[in-house]
Amino acid sequence: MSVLTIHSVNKSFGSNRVVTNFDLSMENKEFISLLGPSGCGKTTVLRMVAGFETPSTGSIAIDGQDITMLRPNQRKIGMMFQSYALFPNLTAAGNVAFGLKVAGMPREEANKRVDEMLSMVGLSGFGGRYPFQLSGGQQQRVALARAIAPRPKVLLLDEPLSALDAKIRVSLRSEIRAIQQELGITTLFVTHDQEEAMVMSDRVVVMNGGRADQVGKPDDIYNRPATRFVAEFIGALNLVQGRLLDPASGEIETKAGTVKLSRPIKGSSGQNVSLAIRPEMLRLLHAGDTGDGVTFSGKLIGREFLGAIIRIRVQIADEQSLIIDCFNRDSGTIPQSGQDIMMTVRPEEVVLLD
Amino acid sequence: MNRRTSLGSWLIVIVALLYFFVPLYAAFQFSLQMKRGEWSFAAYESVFKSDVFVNALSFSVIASFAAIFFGAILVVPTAYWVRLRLPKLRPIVEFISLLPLIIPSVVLVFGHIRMFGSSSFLPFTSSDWGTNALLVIGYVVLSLPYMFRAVDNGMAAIDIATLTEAAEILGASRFRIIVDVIFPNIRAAIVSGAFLTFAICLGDFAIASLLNRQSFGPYMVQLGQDRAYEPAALTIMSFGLTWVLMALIQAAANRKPGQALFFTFRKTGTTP
Repeated sequence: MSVLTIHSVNKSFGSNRVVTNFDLSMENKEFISLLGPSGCGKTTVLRMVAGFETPSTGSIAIDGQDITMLRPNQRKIGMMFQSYALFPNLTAAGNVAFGLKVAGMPREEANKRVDEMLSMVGLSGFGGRYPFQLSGGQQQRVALARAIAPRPKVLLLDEPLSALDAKIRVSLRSEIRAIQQELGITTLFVTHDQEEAMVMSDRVVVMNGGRADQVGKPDDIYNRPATRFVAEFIGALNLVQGRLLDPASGEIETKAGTVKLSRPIKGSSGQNVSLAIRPEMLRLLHAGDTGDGVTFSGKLIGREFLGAIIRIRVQIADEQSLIIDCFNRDSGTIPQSGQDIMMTVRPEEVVLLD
Repeated sequence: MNRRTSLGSWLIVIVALLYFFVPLYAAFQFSLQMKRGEWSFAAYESVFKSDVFVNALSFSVIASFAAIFFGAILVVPTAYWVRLRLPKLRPIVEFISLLPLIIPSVVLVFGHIRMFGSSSFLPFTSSDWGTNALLVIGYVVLSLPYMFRAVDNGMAAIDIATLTEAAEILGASRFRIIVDVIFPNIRAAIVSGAFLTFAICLGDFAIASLLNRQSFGPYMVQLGQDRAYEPAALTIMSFGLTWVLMALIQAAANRKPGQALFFTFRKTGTTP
């Protein structure tokens, strides 16, 4: 049975609709990310689960019990905030103990739990410090300990890593994931950072304009984007405009020549389509190489050094260029700017978008 | 900065200090001259020995503590609620909180007496206890501009919306949030509001005298009419008291969590 069920939820602020027909069912111990640009409604969904906002229509249930109208303090949910939101007047231990005290846990048991939680987040011995004596990363760890101490049924994370610097962000995200898996807490995570969502989640919900555009495993979302928005929002992407010539054989006419995908395509001939190709799926074609099925030729017009990867830009037609990611170790084989170049991709790696 | 402007600034500071301290010193010296031909603290002694002084001062102190208590109970939840849920009401509440600065306290107390006089539906003034209550109510109103502003600024300094949500999701009720989260985090603000309230209540003459209460303000005025040296001594003492209060406001404002203002009841936690 699913732990958290969000059923046909809509939310409007005045005449402004921010969440439309949102459905989500979370299995026990699952980690799901709500990913999207700012203003896509992801935080509103989270706040409705927390009880800080009430859905205009629809319902939310935890363990089959409808909580749509319950106040936040009756929901048994844990939450981490972007701004840490630690109580400045309490020590780290006091913060972690807050929820336990409210729940009426006996002092001795609470103290034991606090020690356990603080050591779990790697802050044993820091219990006596006040928030202003802790770094941002440490404060957010205390916030995590505080959120999980009362053993909530669902954990909500509202962009908890956004306020931290890059290095701590990366280490803390794997720690949060490890603790979540160890304790088996069903977790809903809101982020605008696709890398965080991909790395941490069992499933990702990509949101756009208040709707869930696609729900799926990180690799599904990346490799098989369902909509143009998902394809463009996640990762770098080449889009080539074309016109469907033959739906049965998957023949498509583009400005850079005809492409044959060798698979049946839904649609009628003459219809406009877009070919979506990830930059790392393209491979440079050298003399004597036969290619992988779909080939493009053009002139190399740009080259960016990204460290492990070298990203080159190739003009394949007027106002149509492709970016290709090559490994740094192959840098010797990359032609110079202005040279003609051929590249190839397997037909199954080409995603068709409307 | 060159030497000329630096000299100019020093000159201004020195003139200002003289302007302030010379009359003060004159009052101080005068207060020491009660005994002919020698300098002594006789005037101070005489003030402290007087039963009326002790009674008036303790009455005023109790009244101002009551005003601080009820003022805080009134202002903190109001400011909290306005900030959290009714931000549109803010200009109105701010305007109301400023009214006591515009309306003279004489007008205020006359309004109170008319409204709660012995022939009204709520005859506060017909009993001693009721009149004292009316005095405290008057003090609460009088200190509203300072208390509200101090508390409101205190709330602006912490993110009360997120702290409220954090406490709420941990299971806390509204009452518990105000008592356990909001109050302790704006304690410094309340304390500075409280000291201002204390100073105002101690200095009040109009309300106390029209309600016929034997408090510190009327006592000072009476003493000024009857005696020569004691009022000067009292003036010096009230200056001293004001300075102590200012220092305490500073200490309260700069205090960090976990640091005691005077002394602490808190059991200290383990420090790494």
